[in-house]
Amino acid sequence: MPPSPDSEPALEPPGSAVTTATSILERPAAHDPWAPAPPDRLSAYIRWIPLGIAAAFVHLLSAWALIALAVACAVFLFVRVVHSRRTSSTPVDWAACLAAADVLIATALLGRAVAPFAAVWLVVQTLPLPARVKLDRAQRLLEHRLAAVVVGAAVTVLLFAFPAIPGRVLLGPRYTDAGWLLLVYAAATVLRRVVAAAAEELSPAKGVRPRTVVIGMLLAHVGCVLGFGPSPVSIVVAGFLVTFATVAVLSLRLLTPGPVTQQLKPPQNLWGLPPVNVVAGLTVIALAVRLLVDRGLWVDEAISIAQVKLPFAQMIDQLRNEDIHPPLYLSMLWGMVRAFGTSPIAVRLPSIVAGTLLIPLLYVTGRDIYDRRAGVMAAALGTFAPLLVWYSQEARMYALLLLFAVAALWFQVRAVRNGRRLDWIAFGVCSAAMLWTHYFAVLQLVAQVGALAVLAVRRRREGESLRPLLDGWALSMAVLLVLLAPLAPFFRHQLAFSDQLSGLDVPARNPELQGLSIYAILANLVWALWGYHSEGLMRQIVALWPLCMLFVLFLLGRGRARVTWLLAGAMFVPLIVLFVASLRLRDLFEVRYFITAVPAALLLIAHFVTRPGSRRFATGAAATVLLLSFGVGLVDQQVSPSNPRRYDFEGALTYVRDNAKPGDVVLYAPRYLEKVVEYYAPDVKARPLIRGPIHGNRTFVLSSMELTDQVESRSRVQLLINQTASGRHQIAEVRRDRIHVQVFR
Amino acid sequence: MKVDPRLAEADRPAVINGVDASRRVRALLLVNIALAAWYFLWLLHPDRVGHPVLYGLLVGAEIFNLVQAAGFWWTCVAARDRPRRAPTQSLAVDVLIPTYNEPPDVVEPTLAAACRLRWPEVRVALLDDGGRPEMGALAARYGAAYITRESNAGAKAGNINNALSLTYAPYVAVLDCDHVPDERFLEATLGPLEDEDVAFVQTPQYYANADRGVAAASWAQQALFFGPIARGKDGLDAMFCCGTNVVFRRAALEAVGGFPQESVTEDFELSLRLHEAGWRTVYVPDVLARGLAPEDMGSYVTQQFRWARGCVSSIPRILRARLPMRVRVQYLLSSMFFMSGWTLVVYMAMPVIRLLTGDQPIEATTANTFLLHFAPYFLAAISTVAVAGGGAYTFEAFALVAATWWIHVAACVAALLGRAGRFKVTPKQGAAGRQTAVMLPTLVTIGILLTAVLWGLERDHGPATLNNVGFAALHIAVLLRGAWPALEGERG
Repeated sequence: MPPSPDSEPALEPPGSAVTTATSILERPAAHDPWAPAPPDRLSAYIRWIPLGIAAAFVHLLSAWALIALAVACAVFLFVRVVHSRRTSSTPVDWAACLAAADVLIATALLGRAVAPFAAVWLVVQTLPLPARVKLDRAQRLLEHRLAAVVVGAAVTVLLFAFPAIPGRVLLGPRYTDAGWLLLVYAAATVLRRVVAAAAEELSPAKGVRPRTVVIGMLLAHVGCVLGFGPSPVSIVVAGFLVTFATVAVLSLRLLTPGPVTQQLKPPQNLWGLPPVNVVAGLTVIALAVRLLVDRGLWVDEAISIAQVKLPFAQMIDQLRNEDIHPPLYLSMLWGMVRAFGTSPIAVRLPSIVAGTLLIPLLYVTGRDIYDRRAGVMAAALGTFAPLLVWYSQEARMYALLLLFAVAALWFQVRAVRNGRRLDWIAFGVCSAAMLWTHYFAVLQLVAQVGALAVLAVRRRREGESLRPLLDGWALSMAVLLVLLAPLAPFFRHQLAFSDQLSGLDVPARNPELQGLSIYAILANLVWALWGYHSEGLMRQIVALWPLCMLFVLFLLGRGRARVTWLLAGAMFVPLIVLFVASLRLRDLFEVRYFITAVPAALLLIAHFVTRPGSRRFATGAAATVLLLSFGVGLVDQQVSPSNPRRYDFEGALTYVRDNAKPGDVVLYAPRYLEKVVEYYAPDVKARPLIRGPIHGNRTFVLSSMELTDQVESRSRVQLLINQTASGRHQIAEVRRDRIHVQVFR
Repeated sequence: MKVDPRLAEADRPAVINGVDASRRVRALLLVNIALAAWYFLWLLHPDRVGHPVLYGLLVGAEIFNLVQAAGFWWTCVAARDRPRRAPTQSLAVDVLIPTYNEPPDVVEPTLAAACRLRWPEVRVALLDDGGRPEMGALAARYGAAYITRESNAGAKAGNINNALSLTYAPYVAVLDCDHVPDERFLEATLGPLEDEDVAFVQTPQYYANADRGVAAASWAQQALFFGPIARGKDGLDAMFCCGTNVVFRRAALEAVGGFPQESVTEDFELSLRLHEAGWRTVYVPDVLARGLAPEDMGSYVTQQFRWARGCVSSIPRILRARLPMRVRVQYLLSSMFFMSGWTLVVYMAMPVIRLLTGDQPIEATTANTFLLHFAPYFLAAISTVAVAGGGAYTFEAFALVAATWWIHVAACVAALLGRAGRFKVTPKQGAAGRQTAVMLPTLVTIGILLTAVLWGLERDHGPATLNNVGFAALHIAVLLRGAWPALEGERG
């Protein structure tokens, strides 16, 4: 009788992908025919030291000699790593190989000034943990990943705490321009070690050729550097992008299932390694990326700071009477400010932490809803999703809202599947926390409750017992109601006073996007995934809307799982409700207000990319394209001065503060710039630009037309500026990102 | 040894698309009508006319697809979930298995299963148009009759007609030689035939090898047809015969002179004649036989071209036929589906022309509102397909139809020129290796689109150009996905 295809594992051909991958961590090294003997890690480490020392002396050589040395070393390294794989190569070799080549490229291109850096950096990158000398293979891999995370986190924190050290002291003045990008470079260093572990692990199991990885990375790196121009910044960015792309490909390679028949096996057999390490690495990177903020505070953040500077009771009172946001976030910020002060980083810390915690949360949510591959993919997407990064760097409530929103989804799925009382309670708590953070969270809650209702109807139709579901649901709703009870009178009071308020947050749209045009809708949707970009770029991206049809068509035949409809609901309900509401109140269709749809969208995308049955090539290609597009979007959003959401109040007000003297008058428009002016120029006497006499030696007018959202108001502000200018001479003018300072005498 | 997927019990659905889609589609119907009106009222406004010829072509293509979509909605809404009916009589059945050049390992499981059918009086006959001795031996081994003939006139239709003249049972079951019947096949289909006016009972063509590639996409297309569409046709008494997994009343066949031999889609033409003669037809959605989908692109193209050629040629005949209006429209909808490749030509030509010449169908100043009107209609229409098909219709199925647009064009041209069609047997086993030659028209199309994209980007990066680049990229992606199984070089 012919064997059944499901009757493995006995029928599995020896050395097949799954068998081998699974066995890597289980088999003792002695039984592994290709595994090296337990290595002496210290010697493996020490043999790279001479290279570091040699690199320290390269400044004595000419440029041609440097290049020749770089080539020779690269060839030597390739040969060494490729040919020694079966004997004594370790992840440390891999990391050293990549690091050394990287350093040599940088030295060859930038010259001798960076030579001392070569030696130090090489040592840092190859640093093993001080642990036992002899390790078996599994321990070595685990240790290596730990080293990646620990060293990466330490370097990241050090760079963050002492940004001047690497830039000026260690690397010299040439790297001053690189500035905060060195954080990114540190992240790339961490990733290199992950690459090393992944490549080593994959080499026998999934046919990844180490040589291909090394040569591919270096060629891509050199190509990027040449493409961007041989500057320190380009080397740093190229190092990051190339390393990141390689990690994306290798990780997906690790996570991609084999052919369909293999998927019938238990899911743990599909994994070559526990993805927890990948997620830990991603979390470190997420932290680094979120700490990498160089923009000053903007209006809303300054308003938050002004609010939390008040005594607690007064702050709550002001919130109740003059604001339209719930108090949870500001209460947390109030405590944070008392502990760490009101520096930009201190007030943004809650958002940075929440935005970083979102990464492991996305992983566990994706893992529990679909599988681990989807979880890792969602975490990877979340790490680099530009909008998530943006709001993780803003002293507002959106990062916290995202954290609670994803947690609510996670606990709901767990509760429905497990029926555990604790999960139902957690679902209720997270839902309440969402609403205590932002009232628009009610839209996701509607979707989640709707999903429960649909589930109940289906279960009833299918004759299943409804009791556990209804009991759990009732419990979570009871928790929710109890927790929301104090918020209800607060909200009612705010609502009663809301007629007197100007609106929600300060409008942050482009003037060009005013009105609910199809362009505005699409622009918001593009922002949701790829972040904020210049007006011209947005018009070009939006023009590519036919590709959305491709996405819609691609969905045909997919997403039949019920839980997919929960995520789809969490994504579409806020969008649709706000769209309909915006037909009356146009400002409502704004990406910030439906930001809870973004993680749901990322989870869905992660599922579609990594779904079982998809081909390796398709999965790898889709993941790489997506992650690279996120990476490019992120870089453009973070560094491009044409990002319409960047307002350089810090620069403009520093100018005013440094130049305004007693007797000068400082005017600003629109009037809600008050708090940001107070924050950056607290000692300057400033008032809104209004009609009336101006008495003073010089008049500083600070204005932002982009923040003046209506054409009429813009005309009015311009009129007032013209009136101020009449009879005076303009003696200076400073333009910062979307902020204009004029000085009249 | 590879297990024949037709014999594996796992994953076999009991019913094709068991979801009752009619209620859901009915709910979506009003939305579809409203959004179609929203779009077409905008499109047909005189202010929209850009380049008159291009505009005319675009409107023509859109109206054609609207008619197809409306026909689909109507069919789905009319879906009937027929109660199963057990037979009360036990009249004799002849089971005919026509074959021409298929290998014995394809035919044998079918023959073996046919000989195991649960029914008091079953006579199985292997109709071998290839005259192969090994088939004779195979039939003898299973105790089946072996029927062959001197010439192959009339191909499959002629083969069956020949067998009809040699057999006499009141019911005749026809099974393609790759379709392995379930032992309940006759018990599940003979009940409705006890109504004297029922000519045949059709059951789905289930593909057991549809795990990937062309076979999977092909099955997704079949699943949509044998799901909501066939149920709808049954509800409208307009179900036509699909050539296999069907049981006929011999009297009905004889009344219309047997299988028509002049058409390459003899089953379609036969159904038309039966309906014209006043016979009723019945569809039972239970999966009662498991067959093989075309595994490679060459087989798929052969199959689709034959269907397209036959159905398009039938259009004049349908227009002349004496049929109730609903039945006539159903036949027309099915036949005209094979003209939809022309609309793809129009859609693909628009961005190319815009990028190369600057001419566009919609007037430029109003083009920016196109999306606002088109997107809701498009989304609703796609959602309806997804809902009606219960998720069975996939992107890969859509891409495969799109990538073989030229089959429809070639079939229409052949029909217009009046060239006689030849019955080509669909290969039952896939060919190994790349099949780039088969997909040459698709590859040329991709090349043209790509050239237009590069040309356009070379000249301009404005939103208008990028919008057309987006359309061209959409077409390129869909065509590539559809052609991928042929380019990949793997079997099926």
